[in-house]
Amino acid sequence: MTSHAMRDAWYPVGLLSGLSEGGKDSLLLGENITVFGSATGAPSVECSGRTLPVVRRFGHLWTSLGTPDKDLFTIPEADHPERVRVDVGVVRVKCSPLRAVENFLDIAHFPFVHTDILGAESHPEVSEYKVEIRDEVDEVWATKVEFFQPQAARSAGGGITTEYMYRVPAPTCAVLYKTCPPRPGAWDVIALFVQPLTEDLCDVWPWMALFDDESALTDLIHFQQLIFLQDRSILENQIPKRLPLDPAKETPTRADLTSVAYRRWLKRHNFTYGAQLVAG
Amino acid sequence: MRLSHGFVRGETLSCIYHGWRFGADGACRKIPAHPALVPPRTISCGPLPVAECNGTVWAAAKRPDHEPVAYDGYMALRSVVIAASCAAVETACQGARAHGASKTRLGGHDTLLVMNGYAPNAVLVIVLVAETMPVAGRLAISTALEALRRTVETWGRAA
Repeated sequence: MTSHAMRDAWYPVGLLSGLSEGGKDSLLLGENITVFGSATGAPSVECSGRTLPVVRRFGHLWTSLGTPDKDLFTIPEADHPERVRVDVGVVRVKCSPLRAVENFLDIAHFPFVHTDILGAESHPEVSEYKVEIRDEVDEVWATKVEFFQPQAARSAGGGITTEYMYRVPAPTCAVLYKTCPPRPGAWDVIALFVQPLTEDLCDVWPWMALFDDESALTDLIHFQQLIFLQDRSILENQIPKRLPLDPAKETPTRADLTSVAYRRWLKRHNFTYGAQLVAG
Repeated sequence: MRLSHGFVRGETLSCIYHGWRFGADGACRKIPAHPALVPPRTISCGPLPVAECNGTVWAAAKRPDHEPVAYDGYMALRSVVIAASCAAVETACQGARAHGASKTRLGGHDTLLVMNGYAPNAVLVIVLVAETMPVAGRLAISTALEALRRTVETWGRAA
């Protein structure tokens, strides 16, 4: 049995729309779990004969191996009745769960990994933005992030300068708020919920809450899958496999301030499952 | 991220992840996210001495006092990575050692295999064939090399 601070956090373990009454075997932080759907709407999760706490939110079932000291975070913007909420599904990635989150927080790779979609090689500059660890909510926030994007969203007609906000409310979850092409002034919400299977294997459950009444649901899902599969080829080749929390190990630039804050916040809380503490 | 996943841009090697560009001396020339920044000299990818021979790139930790062995009349056909140990690959191809290469019959032809076991369970194998080898022969050798890879990797799984 592992004993670390991340046991007390909430993790996604399945889509509410895709649970099976007969149960489905999975892993959480290296431990075997079984996720059960229910015809009466009360899904459950078991681990070695123990019934784990569950929460149903954002279209997913969430659980914890330990005793969460706070409720699962909320995304109030996502509740707007006119938004389309998109269950993207699951992508298994052979990488540290923390690496999957960190890559989601990074914009400097857009021109090179998501070429001509989320970024263009002709516009690679990352301008200055603001990063803070908000102590009152205990979350990492990056704001005033601006980037030129050839096709920012399925609903975008052409290139625009997109504004982003990033939020890390839990060790393996990140929420992105970005300019909504059809509705100036509002934010699209794109979240990455990561289920840590082991320290170097994870199931990633992307989820979106968008203002887009034109695109077919299938097209919205395909757009997000295309982006994430481009990320997967990067994530599975990163060295070292585990996220280094030793500042001496890598060379950050100003564009990496969100990642620097995320690593500092992980270290502060001993959220080290999937991390590398000693340079190696 | 290994630079081998990247690509050549002008006289620099560009990383696939964030497009950082490195010159032949290993020094970082450009960080695209910060176009106005001159990368500090401390950012370097640690280049190795290299030499080209028989269409193959050779590297060494320190520059040796001799050039790589040249195999006259041979050219590099292709490379393959085999998920096994060097010893397992050599056992499978039953080759006689010849100046650092393993002399092996593949697809009915004489070939030379040069190997680099760069991890406990990964060997880069480069197959050298006679420069005069016709296309049909090259295809047969290539196919036999794939078969060799499958054989060795199957042994590994059975063990």
